Amino acid sequence: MTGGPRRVMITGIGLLTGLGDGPGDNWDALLAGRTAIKRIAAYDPAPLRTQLGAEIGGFDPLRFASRRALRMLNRGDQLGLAGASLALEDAGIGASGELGHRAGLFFGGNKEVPRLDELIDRIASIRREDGTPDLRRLGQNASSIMAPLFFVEGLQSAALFHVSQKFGIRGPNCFFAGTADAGAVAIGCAMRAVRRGEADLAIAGGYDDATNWWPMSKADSLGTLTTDNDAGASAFRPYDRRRSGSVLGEGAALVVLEERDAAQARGARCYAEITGFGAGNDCCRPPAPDPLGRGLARAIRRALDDARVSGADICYVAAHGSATRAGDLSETLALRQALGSAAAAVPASSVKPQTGHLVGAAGALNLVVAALAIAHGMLPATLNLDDPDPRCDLDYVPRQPRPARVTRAIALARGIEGQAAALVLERPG
Amino acid sequence: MIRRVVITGLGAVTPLGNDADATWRGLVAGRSGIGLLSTFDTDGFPVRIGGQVRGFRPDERIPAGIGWRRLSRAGRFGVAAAAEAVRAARVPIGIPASDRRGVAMGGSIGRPGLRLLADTGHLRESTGNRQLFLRQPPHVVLEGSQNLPVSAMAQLLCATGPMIGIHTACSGSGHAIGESFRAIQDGDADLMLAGGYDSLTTWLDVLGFSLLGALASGYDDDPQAASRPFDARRCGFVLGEGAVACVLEDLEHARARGAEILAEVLGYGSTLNAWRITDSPPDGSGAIQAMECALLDAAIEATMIDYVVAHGTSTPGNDAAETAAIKKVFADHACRLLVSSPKSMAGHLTSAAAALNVLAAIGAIRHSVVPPTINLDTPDRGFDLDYVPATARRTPVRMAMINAFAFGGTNTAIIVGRAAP
Repeated sequence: MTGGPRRVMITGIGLLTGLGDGPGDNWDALLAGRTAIKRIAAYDPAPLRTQLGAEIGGFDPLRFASRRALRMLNRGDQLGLAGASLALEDAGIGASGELGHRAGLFFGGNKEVPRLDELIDRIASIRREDGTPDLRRLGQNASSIMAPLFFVEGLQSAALFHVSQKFGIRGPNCFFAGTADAGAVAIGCAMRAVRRGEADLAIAGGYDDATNWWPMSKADSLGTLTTDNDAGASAFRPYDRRRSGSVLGEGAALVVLEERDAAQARGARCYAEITGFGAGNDCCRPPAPDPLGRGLARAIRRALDDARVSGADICYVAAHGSATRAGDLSETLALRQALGSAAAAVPASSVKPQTGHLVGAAGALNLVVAALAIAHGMLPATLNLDDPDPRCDLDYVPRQPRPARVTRAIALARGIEGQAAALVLERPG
Repeated sequence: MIRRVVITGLGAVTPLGNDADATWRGLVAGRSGIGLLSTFDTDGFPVRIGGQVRGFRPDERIPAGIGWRRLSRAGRFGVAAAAEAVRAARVPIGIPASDRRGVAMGGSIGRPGLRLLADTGHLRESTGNRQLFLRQPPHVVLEGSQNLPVSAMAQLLCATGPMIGIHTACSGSGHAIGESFRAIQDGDADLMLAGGYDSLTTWLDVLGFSLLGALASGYDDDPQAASRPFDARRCGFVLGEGAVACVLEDLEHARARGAEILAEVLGYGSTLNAWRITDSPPDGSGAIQAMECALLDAAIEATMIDYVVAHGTSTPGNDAAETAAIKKVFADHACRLLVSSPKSMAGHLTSAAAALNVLAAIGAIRHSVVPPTINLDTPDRGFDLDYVPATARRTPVRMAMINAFAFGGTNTAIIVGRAAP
């Protein structure tokens, strides 16, 4: 021990997005300006107003779990298990084994009720002539309508189980159910658990199969997605005058966090240190955000306080940039409010036009982006920002990535019900 | 110096009563809140009983500005319990909102309507699978959101601090209270509204859990006898519904505003079994570590605990593993402890279960009465702890441990103690 408070390093990154697997491929794709957004291919999106998505093509879950184990995992949980496995591998920690009681798991996601296609098919057998379902027959024929493992697969926090079992993780844990905030809060709470001394290592982050038809059929109604289908990938344009909403993507962003002395003792590579976490909420009726983004401003202020730094110390913001009219404007105002006069000079960018909005994984992805910006000295661009909205008047790094020495960065996340989270990262010293 | 955290308000909507006081009186009276479910027509269902909330009037319990009609059944319970807790704690409400206040709640995502699924199936058939699904109207989508009620709670608390939705099944409110305890200790907030709300009494939940063989069956004629934790004839748990909310507060903050302090939160631990998704390891290992972590966190000896509010689900496996775990953690002290399960009376409130156990612990500490485990007529072999069978026990309680062990292998243990002098 070197004395002083315990410090928390990011020593591994597990990343799956439509752009590729792993921090290396994703970072190259981000800097090259590639995008994964196109018309949804896994099913016919015709009934949707928004028919675009950033899907992961060719994801092979058998790399991460046996066929037998996979029977119990829906796609989102498979992405979570894959992300956790890749993060541990990236950290140089064995493929499986026993990490024990000093290892924690903190996940965030937006998991939905599973196996709906199967359920819908089978419920047809109990539909009456007039279209109403016959509950009595449903009850009597339950075992032929619902799979026995329905609730095992359906458990919202199931990935905690699958990852804990694969790696023998037995320490502190939680599953946060939400949208972008969920994965970021998971990382914040994991950082605190390591800093406090409840764990020496934690895997934390988010995952989401957001482009699946069921969550798409829900998100499609809320007015937060762009309907500019003909524009393809350029439909998603944060901070731009012609912005019209998000495009969802599927993916996982998980990190391995380790106490600094332990990480150094084993010679681990450190991408960045996490020094601050803050959370807030808009305190208003969803899905509209507070016009001033007061929840986000609070999250940022609290994260800066927690890290004992000021707005002027921040060199980069991995921004939320959901490209909704009210979202981008209130985010801009929140950044101005929380960072003060420093806001005007701080570059801030959103990678969502490239990866899609990863929903439960979006906040965790921003943390990874900030960590990679620190590690590589480059800032990814905000794609499609051709005609900046004059009211979104920060340096949103339009179109081209930019070299920059980043000593401190902040990663942001906002949830659909008004939640906000911010994480401060620092260059390992 | 670590900040101390106290509880200054409670609210509840449960099968035992529609507020915290009625729930407590139901627990002490050893009354069962379990009956035939009327949340849907259960005729023909393999299990037809549950702990159902009855006679609840959302319009009377939820402040007008919040708009109860947009909330799900679970959400209405949750927001009503939250409003009661905030009122009981006499938290000053007004503009501007405070970023020193937050909310963390265990809950579940909304279930799809059976009619929607049937209609979707019909659409698929009639279009030859060219159209796979229907779009859903915004109010239906929002009603199904797990966090819409949490945002309503933040609104009624005028809180712009952390707003956190948690799902870890049966330990959800244990995690929510634990993370709130940490948030106050770490200085993220001075006051957190924490607990859980759930209403897994739908056709989907009853079928899902009964197909897993987890529910007590064969008690349609005698529903009140179905939940029998630690009894030799126990055969599964009984689904319940409801909400329990607690106001957690920094001790100095509570003192400064002259709040009545009900109890102090002393320790928290959470662990994973890494064993099987539906069972706990028979040796109770994950549960043992959760209890030991909480004791270590509270920096107290196990002998300081007078009462364990058990997870006590009435499943064969849980109750055996929990008994083994309590014996291991408390050693010689185990036989002097009182252990009881509110689930014997309320059923399993899933995401709200740990918070109901906290309510039982606080009542026991404040009133020196330990609620019973009802239906415990035939002690099981090796189940030799004092489970407070049948009737409540008058005895002083200094500190209590609250257990919650979930499907999926997550465990939480929380320790609460008498209000600081």
